[in-house]
Amino acid sequence: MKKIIAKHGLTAAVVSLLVLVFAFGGVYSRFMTAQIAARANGGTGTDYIDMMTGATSSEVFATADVVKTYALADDRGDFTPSVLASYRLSSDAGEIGVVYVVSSHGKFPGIQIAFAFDLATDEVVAVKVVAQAETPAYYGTLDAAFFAQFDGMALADVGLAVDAVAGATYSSKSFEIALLYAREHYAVDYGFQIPSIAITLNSLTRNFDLATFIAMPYVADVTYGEDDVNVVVYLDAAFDVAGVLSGTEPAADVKAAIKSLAAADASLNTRASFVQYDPDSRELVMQTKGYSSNPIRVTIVLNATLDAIVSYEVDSHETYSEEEAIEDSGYGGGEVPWVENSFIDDYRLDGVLDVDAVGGASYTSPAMKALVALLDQFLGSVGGGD
Amino acid sequence: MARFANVKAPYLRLTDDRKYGTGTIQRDFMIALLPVILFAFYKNGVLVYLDGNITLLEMFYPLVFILAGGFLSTLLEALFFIVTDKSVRTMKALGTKLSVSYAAIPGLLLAMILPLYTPIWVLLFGCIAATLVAKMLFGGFGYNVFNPALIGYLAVAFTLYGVIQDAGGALNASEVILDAAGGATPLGALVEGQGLSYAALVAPYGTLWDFFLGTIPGAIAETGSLAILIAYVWLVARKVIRWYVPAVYVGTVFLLSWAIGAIAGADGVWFPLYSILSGGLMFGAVFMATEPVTTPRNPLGKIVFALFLGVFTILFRFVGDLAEGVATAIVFMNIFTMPIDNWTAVIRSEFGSKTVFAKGAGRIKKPIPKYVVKLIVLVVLIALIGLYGVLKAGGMFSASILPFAGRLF
Repeated sequence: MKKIIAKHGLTAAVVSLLVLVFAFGGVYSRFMTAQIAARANGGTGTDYIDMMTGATSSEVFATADVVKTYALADDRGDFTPSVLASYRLSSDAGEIGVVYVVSSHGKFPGIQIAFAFDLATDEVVAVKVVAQAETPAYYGTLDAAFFAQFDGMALADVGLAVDAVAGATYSSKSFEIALLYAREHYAVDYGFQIPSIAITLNSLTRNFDLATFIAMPYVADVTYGEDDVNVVVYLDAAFDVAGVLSGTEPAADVKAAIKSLAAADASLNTRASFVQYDPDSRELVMQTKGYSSNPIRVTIVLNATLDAIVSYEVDSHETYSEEEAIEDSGYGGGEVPWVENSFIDDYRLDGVLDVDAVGGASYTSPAMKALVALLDQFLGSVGGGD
Repeated sequence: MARFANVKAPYLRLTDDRKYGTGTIQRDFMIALLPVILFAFYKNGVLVYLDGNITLLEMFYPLVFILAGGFLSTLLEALFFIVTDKSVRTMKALGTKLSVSYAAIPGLLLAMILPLYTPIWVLLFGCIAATLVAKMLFGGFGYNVFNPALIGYLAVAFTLYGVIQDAGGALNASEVILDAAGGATPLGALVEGQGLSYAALVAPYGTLWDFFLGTIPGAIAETGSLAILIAYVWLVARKVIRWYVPAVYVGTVFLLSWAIGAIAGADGVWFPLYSILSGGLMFGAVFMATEPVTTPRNPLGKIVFALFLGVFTILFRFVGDLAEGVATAIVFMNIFTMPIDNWTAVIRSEFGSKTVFAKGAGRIKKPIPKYVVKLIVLVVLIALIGLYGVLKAGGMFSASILPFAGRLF
């Protein structure tokens, strides 16, 4: 034995070490491969058992094929989410819940959010972010209070919506899209009736009443219910009902439905908004969302008849060089706020905006176009127009 | 002109000084790898864990994978010594052999330039190619002709690429979510023909600053340009490498890329910066193109070698559509290390020398000195290959076709 060890011991030791490293590494790399594959497909079932109290097992199931499109915040177009994975959660007594892992769209696509629904109460019991690639500074503001709103959220709420966190609107909106879409799947898979009220949004317009337009920028004309009750209401910037212009104040569920309809209505220019108005100095502050996360603010002084611009000042944090690089076309203008000034100066010439866009400033241009269009509407309403 | 020390004998050999021994060089080399390895761990492990996209166990994998490469190549070399050298029968003898063979380096380097989700058996295959085939079969440390790590890499890349893709590829868990360019790395996006625009090549991964920091998709440790730059400064300060080799290599690629961009309409400096900061160029320039065994020894030879590396990298990347342009260029040029050394030695020794003719020799047609011929050949070769690469690549990416580029060849 000693002879064998003396002769072959070193070889055996080296080979054993090699096999050990190879085996350990092999197990580790297979584990990593399994994890990344599961992650690309919405996670593994065991990741979600702890989302529901009392759940002891999870089972993959094929959810129904549902196609729905949702508008992204700030007029960035439409998005069609998808369910990456769906799991039935069971306890010893039987099936108690369901988890949908939805691929949604915040600032960027690819945020994966899992919602757990309680089959007994039709409520949201847990939410989990499986993966995300949002801007860390903004996503990080989604705190415990934000996530707490989902606890016990009733799927039967006609105005099911997510309260956004200021400064993280896109990321917040991604949760709302995911939740609404998950509810659609829940409705098809489990026969859940998504509540709806017979309601029609007859019109959604801007409120240009000088006394109220800052706090309540929108006016919605709706008809609802079996009796076709008509009401015209003021809406605030978040589309919550803030006052009644005519008719009887509607109930809470109708208000929620009005909010949902107004928020989804794409007919209105909501990119630009009014911030402040001083009737004494006739100083109007407007803002619009361009490329920078800080909106472009324009302070405009109007004339006495409120139909022309006397002077203006732009506070902008745009970066034309980055927009130009993304758009990959030349920008030939001046430094910030050259683009913003160009739009306003053009409008001031004859009260008509002839500039469509400035090449290389593909984010700032539509933002300023929206602002000038809104200003034009405002002047047309409160003043004499041109 | 031959150089003589301007002092009397005896002369002290530098290698007799412990500070300049091979062991010291290899130690400094390993130290230089540290920031790059740590960055790889940070980018593919810590950062992804902090994003919430992997667990704690997964976080350590990049580090374990790199170390596994070093271990595997060391063990394979140990096995080779045991099998082939009868004098190696004890741990002490084996340890002595391994200590002067620097067995871990090929495996470490190989692991650093492989994609994150490379299966361990693929890494073992690469280590066998790197250590046993490219290094030991040629005679061991100091006798190899080709860069062992790159031979291992090319063996894996050309035969088992699909296996790596199926196992997860190069994107870590945070990058696979973004999937902005369909799972492609920045260089992969170029090779896949996504066009020569900032929007297609840079914007999906962030800005050029992200490219410099290294927070972009790529192999485990090759993307960290800042970390590699720190390593470069250390290696130059410790006199392990000559500063001009990576500088000439990267500079050549920068200039030629700028020319290609100018032809193709990609104005500005973003494209040449993208070219040098994506793929394994920085890593290859600092750690592979400066490898003392497989690259020329004299300074002029090193410069010529680096110039050829630059033009061939451009050729393989842009004309050959090869994402492994750097590795291929270095291994290809390893073949010519000796001829380059010989030619440049002649050029260096004869440059500026004057032929003295005896009195009364009459009018003799002075022959063209050999070193001039060699110099012209080298310069013309570099220029021709570079010009061809630029015009061909520029023509490929340009909407306006140049009169002859890309058409004749």
